[in-house]
Amino acid sequence: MVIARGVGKCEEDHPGSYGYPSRPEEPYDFCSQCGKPMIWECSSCGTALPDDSGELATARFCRECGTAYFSEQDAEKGKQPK
Amino acid sequence: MIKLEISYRAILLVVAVLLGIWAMTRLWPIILLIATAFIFHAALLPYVEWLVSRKIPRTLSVVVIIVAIVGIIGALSALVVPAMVDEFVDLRENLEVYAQDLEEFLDDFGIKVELSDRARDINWDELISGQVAVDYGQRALTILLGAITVLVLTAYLLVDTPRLSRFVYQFVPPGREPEMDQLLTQLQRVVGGYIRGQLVTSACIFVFTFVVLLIAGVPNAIAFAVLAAFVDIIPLIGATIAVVFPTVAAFQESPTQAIIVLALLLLYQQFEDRFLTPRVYGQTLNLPPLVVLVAVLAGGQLLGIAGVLLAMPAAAIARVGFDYWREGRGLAVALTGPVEEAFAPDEAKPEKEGTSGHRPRRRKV
Repeated sequence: MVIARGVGKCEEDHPGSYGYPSRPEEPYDFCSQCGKPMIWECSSCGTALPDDSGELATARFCRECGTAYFSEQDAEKGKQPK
Repeated sequence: MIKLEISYRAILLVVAVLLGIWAMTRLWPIILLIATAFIFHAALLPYVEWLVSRKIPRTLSVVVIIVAIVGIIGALSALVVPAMVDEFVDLRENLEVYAQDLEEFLDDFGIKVELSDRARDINWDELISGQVAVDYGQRALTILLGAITVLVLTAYLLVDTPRLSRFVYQFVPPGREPEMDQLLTQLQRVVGGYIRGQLVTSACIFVFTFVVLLIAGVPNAIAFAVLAAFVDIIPLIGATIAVVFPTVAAFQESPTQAIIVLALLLLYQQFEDRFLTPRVYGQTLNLPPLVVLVAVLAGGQLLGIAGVLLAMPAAAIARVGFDYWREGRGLAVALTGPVEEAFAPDEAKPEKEGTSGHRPRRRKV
């Protein structure tokens, strides 16, 4: 049996994970710290968020297709990709 | 005047560290047993997981593996111990004759040594007196009890691996689990790979030594083959010991046989060093020879023979830990890539496709 594992984050960059020992088995919908929606993969192409914690903390766009993870927030911050 | 301010936290930290060091020195034998059990745990875990993946309960899988190990050790002991006793009795009874033969052989090469007289002067009753036997018996019992403890600890660790994982991961901050996963996998690969690689090289030297001694007609070939397999674990000097004892035993038959055995075993050492070890271990250890030497010397000084045996896996663990620490601080990039790039501010770094989440590639339209 293959156990699915992954990392994700919310708009406020609070990281989360699932499938690891002592963590929820399934991806959850809302951040346990701020209650905002969590993302676990690119909404456009489905690529998982980066494994590296440093990259995860700063990632705003999908590394495969360039889609913004949180489009409204990034548009506000002027980080919309060209 | 310099005013030195030390916080209570710093004082508590120093006291805690000193207490920790003191406790470690007192509990050193137990720590050693636990460390050894963790090493065997890393080596056996893939086999247990393989059985578990085939729907065999974890406890039963561990029992099967442990019983198999005990069975193999028992079978080897049944072969080796009586042969070793025979060899010792034979040596005791015929040492003078063997010394005489060696004297004559060396005399042919112009080397004059007095060996038979010395052999005659050995007081065997004193050497194997009651007190000596008790001392060695106690040592053997301590080693046996240590081995049983390690086996039991390893079994518990294997059964409790899921619980152990949960315990470790609860200290890992969210989002950092993949790094912990990678570290644990790397540790298990290095330590387990070392033990499994050692088993392969020991098995090879066992077969080769056994065949050579059997063909050469050396008595107790199997005992010497097992001895060679065991001493092969000892880095640096193990290979020499594996050659010396069978050669001496072959000399009891004839000097020519001894030379043939010596030549073949030396040839095998070259084969193991240059061909077998690099292929079996691959990049598992990848330790520079100087590090191996320092690790073995330090291990021997600290813990004797146990330290020598644990030196290689300990050095490999230290290397994995060092790599993890180095990568965690971005030094890996600094050591392998251009320095300017590694230490440049984020804005100044060149964009690399697929390497950073926050530098998007051109959006597909």
